[in-house]
Parts: sequence; structure tokens; C-alpha cells
Amino acid sequence: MRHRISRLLFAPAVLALAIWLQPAAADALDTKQAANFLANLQEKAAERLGDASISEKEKEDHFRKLFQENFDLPAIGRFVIGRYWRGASEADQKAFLAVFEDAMVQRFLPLLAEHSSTRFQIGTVTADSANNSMAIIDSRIDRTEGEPYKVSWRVREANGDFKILDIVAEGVSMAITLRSEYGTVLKNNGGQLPPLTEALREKVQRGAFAPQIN
Amino acid sequence: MACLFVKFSAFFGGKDLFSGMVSSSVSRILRPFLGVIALTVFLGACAANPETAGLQPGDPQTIQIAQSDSGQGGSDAWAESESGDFGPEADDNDPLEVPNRMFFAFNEALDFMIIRPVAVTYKFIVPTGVRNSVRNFLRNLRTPVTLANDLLQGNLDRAEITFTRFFINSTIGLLGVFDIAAESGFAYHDEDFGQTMGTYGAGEGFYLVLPILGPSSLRDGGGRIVDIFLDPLTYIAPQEFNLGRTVATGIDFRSRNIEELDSLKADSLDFYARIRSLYRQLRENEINNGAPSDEVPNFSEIPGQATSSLE
Repeated sequence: MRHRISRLLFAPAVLALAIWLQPAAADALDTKQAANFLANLQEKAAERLGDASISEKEKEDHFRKLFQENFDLPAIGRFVIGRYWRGASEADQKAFLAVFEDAMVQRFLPLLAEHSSTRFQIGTVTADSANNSMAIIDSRIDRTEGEPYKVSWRVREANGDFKILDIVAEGVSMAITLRSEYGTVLKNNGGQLPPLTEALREKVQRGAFAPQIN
Repeated sequence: MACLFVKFSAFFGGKDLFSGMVSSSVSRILRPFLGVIALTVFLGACAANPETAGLQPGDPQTIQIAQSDSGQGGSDAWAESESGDFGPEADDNDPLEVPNRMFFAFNEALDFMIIRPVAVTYKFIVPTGVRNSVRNFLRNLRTPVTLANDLLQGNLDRAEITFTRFFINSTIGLLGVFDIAAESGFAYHDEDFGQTMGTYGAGEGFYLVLPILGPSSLRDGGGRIVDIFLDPLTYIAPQEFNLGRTVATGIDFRSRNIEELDSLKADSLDFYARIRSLYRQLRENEINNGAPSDEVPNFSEIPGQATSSLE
């Protein structure tokens, strides 16, 4: 009898302890949530983008909305421009981000439209040991021909929301590559942001970012 | 830089063995390369930073030199970009940028006029199955070099895979034409001496664009030469065969990257800088055998939660 009472008391005590410990555990990023975030995003993208009855314009609008909601574009843009960001005026920064967004939408729309969810698989999620709001999600995209692509996604969590910061394909990071390239361009033109924005705009107008799929 | 090379030639038995190995036919093949390497070592020694000269491979500092494109995707790089707190100007570690860009332009022209058309034609007229067999055969020929580097890296598991592959594919795979081993779970991997040096902590030295051969670095260019020595075919096969094999490997690689390279070039603002960054990241990935690289130590003062607005 006494044994049972202590047991009865024990259960709520454990529960209370668990609740009390909860906030500490919640500080670290929930890797399961992160994986769900990416799975949902992929589903949402594939569902509309794979639909042949929707016009290209609608697809683009839909994808742009998804992109704005799920990618931390200002952070990516700032990372890519690096040291030259602070020297640029607010108007120049805004102009760059607008063109950069167009470029990213043009680049990733066809890729996402291509990959149905059966060929997209999410693997392990690794919390970033150096920053508890970030995680790396591994994924695999099967191709009809050849080895599957290994793609990792760097995501950041803020108040339960996840945003994508970087895409790493076969060890090559989009953010680092663009940062290195644009850094060289900026260095060679005296650190001025507007010429870079102009060059990007011209590329976007020519449709240069759309991957050339045969 | 020069000291690094002295170290490696000592590793292979010193000067006597080195010159003993450079016998008749080999020296004929290598003479042009040796000139280039002697020049790059010389230039490397001149370009070497005073503080970095005299560092041994494996020193943490040596590793960090030249890694401007690797280890920078870590969370501290993101924190840095948000706080606007940058150190001194990032070093491209490309002291030979002017000649490199010249060779790059030369290679691009060569690619446009000869290499790409040949690769496109090859891909168009030769069926996929045959092209895969050509690649299997070329890969099998490369096995001794991969095996030697697996062993030099102390990676016995991978050495065993390499050896098993060679055994299976050379026999029932009909001299390597069919990759039977991959179907039995022994997947192909590649190693070279540049990667071996990388696993022992050697930095890239500096970026280098080789004529015809393309992006490289002091470490990887030197590694290529060592690989020639490590390859038994250098000593037993006729020179024409080895040349043909090098050309075939190049065409095979190019024919598998036609769309990729076209896309990469189409949206680039500085193709040279883009390829330089890609080359470094891919090499880093190869050195780590696909595992994520150790990130640079974390700064403890990460600025508060970044806002994603424009201020």
C-alpha cells in the first residue's frame, strides 16, 4: 500500500520535473521539427509546381511566396556581400536584395518543380554545435540517370519558425561560392554595390539563372 | 612552401631515390612538368608570407592559410556577416592571379574550340553503356594510384575496397570494362596524392591554374607529379598509351559536365572566381571523403539573435 502511494506520488513528480526541464531542452533546436519543416516545404512546392494545369506566371508567384516565407533572403544577401554590406546605402542594399531574390527564384523554381516528393528524401539532421539555433539537414535527390545528388540545407530557427540560409550540394555551398565570387567582383570595382546589382539584373533579364536542362 | 616539398621528397627516400627514379622514359615525360614545378616552388617561396615561412605541414596555422573558401560556411561566418564585424580583408590566396587568369582564359578558349565540341560529339554519338564502360576501364587503370594513396592515408578499410574492386573488375569485369564490384557493394572512390597531403594537414599552398589541366593548387599540382611516380603504368606502358589515357579521362570528365558547366558559366559574374571557389570546396570535400569538415573554432561572442531586416 505504502509502496503504491509512493508510486502515485512519484509519477506526478516525474511529470513536474519534466515540465520544469522543458525550457532547457527547448533551447536547443528540435531536429525533428527541422526535418518536418523541410518535408513540408518540399511538399508544398512539388504539389503546385508539378501541376501542369497552372500557368507559368502563377507558378512563379506561388514559388516566390514560398521562397520569401522559407528562405532568409536578407541574411543570405548580407552574407554574400560580406564586408561590403555596411558601406552600401540602404537604397543600394534594398535594390540588391530585390534583384538577388529574382535571381534565386529563377534558379530554384525549375529545380523544385522537377523533383517530386518520391525522389526527395530527408536524411539525418545535425544540430550545429557552435550555434544552437542552426542545423544542417541532409537530403538525397534521386535522378533518373546517374548517382543521386546529396544536398544539405542549413536552416535557422527563430521562435519556432525555420528559415533556409544555405544549400550545400556535394560539399559545395551556394552561399560561400557566391560570397567568394561577388567578393572578388566587389574588390575589383572598389567595393561598390550598384555595379554588381546592375550586372546581376542584366543576367536575370536574360534568364541566365534558369538551369539549362536538356 | 619550398620546405614542404623538401619534406616530401625526403619522405620518399631522399634525393638519391628521386633522381634514380627519373630514368630515361620517365624523365622525358616529366621534364616539362619539372620545369613548371621548379618555377612554382620558386615563386611560392617568394610569395610565401614571412610569418608562415618555416611552418611544418600539420601545424594548425598551415592548415588555416589558404582556406579562404573552406570552413567559412560555419555559423560564426553567418554571425560575422550579421554583426558586420569583419577582420582584415579576406585573402583570396591567389598570388598568381594575373598569370592564373591568363591560363584560365587560354583554357576557356581551348575548351570552346576543341574540348567541348569533342565532348559533346562523344556524348552524342556514343551510347551511354559504352561510355560507362570506357569510364570503368579508365578508373580500373587508376586503381594502383588510388590504392597507394589509401595506404599512405592509413585508411585500410578503403584500401581493402580498392583492392577488392581491382581484383573483381580485372577478372570477371573483363579488364575493368564492367564495374561488377560496385554492384556487390564495393563502390568506387578516388584518391590522389594532393588529397593525401591534405589529410596530413597540408594547406593548398596557393591557387594555381594549369594550362590544359585546369584548376589546381601548389599542393594538388605537386600531388599530380607524385601520382605519376606512384603509377606502375608510367614505367611499363608506352608513352603514347599514357597520353591517350590522360586525354580520354579528360574527355570523359568533360562529357559528363556539359550542362553543369554551361549553367555555372551562364549566371556567373566572375567565372574565374567562381571556379576557384568551387575547386577549393570540392577538394576540401574530397579530402574529408564527403564528411562535413571540422568547423573553425566557435567565437563565444555571437551577437544576439540576428534580425532579418535591413538595419
